[in-house]
Amino acid sequence: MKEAIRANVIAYIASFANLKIEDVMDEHILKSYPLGLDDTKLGFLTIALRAYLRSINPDQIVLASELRKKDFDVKKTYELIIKKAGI
Amino acid sequence: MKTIVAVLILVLFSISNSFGQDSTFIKINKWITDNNLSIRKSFDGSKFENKPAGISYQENHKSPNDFLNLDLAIKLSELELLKKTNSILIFYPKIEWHKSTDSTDLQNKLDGGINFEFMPFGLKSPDLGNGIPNPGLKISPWFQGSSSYKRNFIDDVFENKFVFQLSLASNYKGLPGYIFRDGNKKFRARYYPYLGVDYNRIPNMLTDNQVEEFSTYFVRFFAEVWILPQSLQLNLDVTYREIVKSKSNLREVVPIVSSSIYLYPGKQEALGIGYEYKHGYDPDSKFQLIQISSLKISWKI
Repeated sequence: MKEAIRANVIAYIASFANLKIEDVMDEHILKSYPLGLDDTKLGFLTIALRAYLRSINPDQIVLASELRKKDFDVKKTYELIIKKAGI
Repeated sequence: MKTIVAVLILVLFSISNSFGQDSTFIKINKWITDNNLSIRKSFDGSKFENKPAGISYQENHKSPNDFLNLDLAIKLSELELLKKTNSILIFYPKIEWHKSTDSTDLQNKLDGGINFEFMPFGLKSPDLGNGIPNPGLKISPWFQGSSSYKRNFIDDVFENKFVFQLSLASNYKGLPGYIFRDGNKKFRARYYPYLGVDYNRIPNMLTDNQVEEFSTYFVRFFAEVWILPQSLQLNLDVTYREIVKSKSNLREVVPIVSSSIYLYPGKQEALGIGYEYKHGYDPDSKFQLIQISSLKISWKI
C-alpha cells in the first residue's frame, strides 16, 4: 500500500509539473527547479491530494501551507500522505 | 550608472561565493523558512508576488533623476479555512516597506494588511492513471484579494487600497499556468491572465489637503520565460487599467508595461541581479507617466 501511495502521489506531481513520472525524483523541491510549482499550482495540488487522501482515510486532510513550505520535496510529500493515511 | 552596475555585480558575486557554504545568508534563509515566512517585492495580490524583494538603482528617462528604491514585503503565516472541502481559502497578514529617493516622487510607506486566496474548484490532471481520483475542471478560476493600510511618512497621511482579481489555471497544454518545457524537459515558461477591480483612497495625491477616492478595473497579462534554465529569467507584465469612478481630474486610461530580466548565479533562486524597464502610468507613483530603468539586487524566499 505504501508503494502504491508513493507512486500515485508522484503521478499527481508529475502531471501538475508537466513531467514524466520517471523524471520526478525524491529530492526535487516542489517549488524549485526542475518542478517549478508556484503557490497557485501548489494550492490546486493540495485539493487533488486532499481528494486522494480522503479516498484512503476520510478523517485526514492535507493543507496548502504544508506543500508550500520552501524546502518541501517529493519524498516529504508522499511520506506526508502515507503518514496521514495511517499506514 | 556604470559604476553602480559594477558595484552591484561585485556585491552579487561576492555574496554568491558563499551560497554553497554555511553562510549567514543561508542561516537567515533557513530561519525565515522555518518560521513559515515569505519575502517578495509586494503581496498586493498581483504579479509582484512572483517578483523578488530588492534594492534597486533607478534611472528616470522622463527627468535627470537617478535614485534608489527599496521594496520589501513579508508574508506572515497563513490561516487556512474550508479544510475538509475540495476548495482552498487562505487568509494571511502581510507587512510591506516601500521607499524611494526620487526627488520628484519621494516615497516612504509602511503597509499592513490582510490578503486572501480562494480556489473554489480542483484542477484536473492529464495522464493520471486509472482509479486515481481526478476531480476538478480542465481550466479553473482562482481569486485573490488584498487590503492595504499604508502609512505615508512623506505626506504624513494614511492611504487605503483594496484589490480583488480573478485568474485562471490549468495543467493542460498552452492554457494559463501550464508549465512549458523544452525538448530536454527544462522549465521554460508560464503565464497568467488577470481581471480585477480595485478601490483607492489617497490623500494629497493631486492637491494638498484633498483626498482622492477612485476605483479602477484592469486586465493584466503576466509571463515568465527562462532564457537559460535556472539562471536567466525574463518577466513580462502588461496592465491595461481604466479609472471608472472618480471625482478627481485623474486620467481615465492608465496602462503600464514592465519587463525585467534576472540572473540567478550558482543554481539557486533566492538571490539575483536584475534589470527592469517600466513605462506607463504607475499606480505606485500616483499614476504619473513614468519611464524608468532599474538595476536590482533581489531576494526571494
